[in-house]
Amino acid sequence: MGEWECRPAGEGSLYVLVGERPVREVTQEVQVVVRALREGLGSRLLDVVPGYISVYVEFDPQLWGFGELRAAIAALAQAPRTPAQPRLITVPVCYGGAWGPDLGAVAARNGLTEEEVVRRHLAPTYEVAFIGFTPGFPFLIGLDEQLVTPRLPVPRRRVPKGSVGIAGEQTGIYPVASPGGWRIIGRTGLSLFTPTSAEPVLMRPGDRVRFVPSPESLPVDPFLEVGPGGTG
Amino acid sequence: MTRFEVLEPGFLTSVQDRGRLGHQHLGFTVGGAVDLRSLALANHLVGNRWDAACLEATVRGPLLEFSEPGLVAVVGAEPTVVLNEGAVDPDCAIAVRPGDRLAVPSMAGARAYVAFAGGLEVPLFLGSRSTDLVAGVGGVDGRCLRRGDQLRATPSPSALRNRWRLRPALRPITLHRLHLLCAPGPQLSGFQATARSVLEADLYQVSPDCDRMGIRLRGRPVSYSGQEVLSEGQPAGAIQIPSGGEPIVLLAARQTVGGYPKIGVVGARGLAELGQALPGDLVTFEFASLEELQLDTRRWWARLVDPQACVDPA
Repeated sequence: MGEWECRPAGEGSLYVLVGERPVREVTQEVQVVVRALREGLGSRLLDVVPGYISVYVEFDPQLWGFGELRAAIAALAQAPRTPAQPRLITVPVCYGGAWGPDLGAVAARNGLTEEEVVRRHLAPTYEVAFIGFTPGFPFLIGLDEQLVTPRLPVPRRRVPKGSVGIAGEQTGIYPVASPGGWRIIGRTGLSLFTPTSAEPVLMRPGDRVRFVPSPESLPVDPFLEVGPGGTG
Repeated sequence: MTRFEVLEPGFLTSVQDRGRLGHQHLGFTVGGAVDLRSLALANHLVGNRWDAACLEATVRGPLLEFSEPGLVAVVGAEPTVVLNEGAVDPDCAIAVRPGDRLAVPSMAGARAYVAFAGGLEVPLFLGSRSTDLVAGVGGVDGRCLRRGDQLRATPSPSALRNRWRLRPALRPITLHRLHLLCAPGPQLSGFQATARSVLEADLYQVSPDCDRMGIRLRGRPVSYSGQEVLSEGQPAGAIQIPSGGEPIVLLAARQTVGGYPKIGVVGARGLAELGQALPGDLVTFEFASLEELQLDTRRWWARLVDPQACVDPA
């Protein structure tokens, strides 16, 4: 680690490439790069956006040439690191039933019982690799290998807010009702996106996340499969 | 202070400014005006900063009734502008009085921007007044305008004073045929060797699948054989190639991260033109170096942010 390779993205943007695969050392180094850029260059950059293995940076090309910014980033790579202080966020989940219509399919595809899928989903401490898709949607890494399941072949037209899903090696939570193709195994009542709050988004890249069984039941909210026409 | 009521909202009209910068890491798209050039020009005409909040009208604009006087301007895809019963010119400042009705019933391209002296006064959300229709934030309750909405502009000393028009060379013209300058994209080397020349040689057509997020083009497909792209941030103007091989150009309200390979990236000048593209319009691409693209943008933009370079006193 420590080699932060810069590549142009567009006329006012570049990538800092950190590694090849989204393994923990790489995703954690991504957060190190994000912190270093924010602390070292914060107000002189427009946006600093982590991905799985890269950090995407937007800048004003009137202020920075590509080579100049690359040199500034290389200098930051040599500077002492601020230790991470990740927060731990606990997410209560109602698994299966009307909240998790794909729990049975995830179990069947992986040769497990539904109880075993839930046990394995509850076990790890996950890490928020990045936020994307919709505001506050966390892409969590650390999923048990036995739970890896491809997306639905055809996305649903509506996945309710709070749905907890699996897509490939990732697990995540829908902060708002939206279309989506993740396999939904449960639902949380925890609000990940509260537009009226001073901090509208609950989770941030680098946060740690644990799921726990929900102590209380949640109301049912409909899923909409793909159907003929219309938006409702 | 300009105040008005929305009598008819039009096809899709929303409050937009330059966009919501600095929050993509939380999943908020930049968004803002899809055609930043027309936004800037409309604002100059009424004495605003170039990036003040305007109405962005799509294809068929709104009908507004004013209850207080003010100064407005409509700039975009050669919009038809009607004040009360009479046609008036776009691309110039228009004084409105209480009881006046302003309509933008049609336009030659996709969008027109209605600027109000002082700028539209809606609450800031994360530093911007622009409407994010996906997240449901910004603008008027995070949605497009509806009949009966009441809006107002921030009081402005320039209201009622200006009689400005755009310099003739800057008046937008809708061509329906775009030639887009682009730079090599981050995954260009993973495409087949001929991909870039295919993209440059073919004539692409704007499909009906286009909105504030992006424009899907129809034409000769190009194929990607490089490594899988893991989700990463993505610039506006990125030319993505999904598995079908036909390009999608990302616009202002793009998703913050994505995993399609990007063969090129269109510059800011071309992006503003794409913001006016309608289904059926024709598109060609020309690759340049990143430095050439930046130079092109710098020249283009230097003039647009300078009000004196844009407007003539009448």
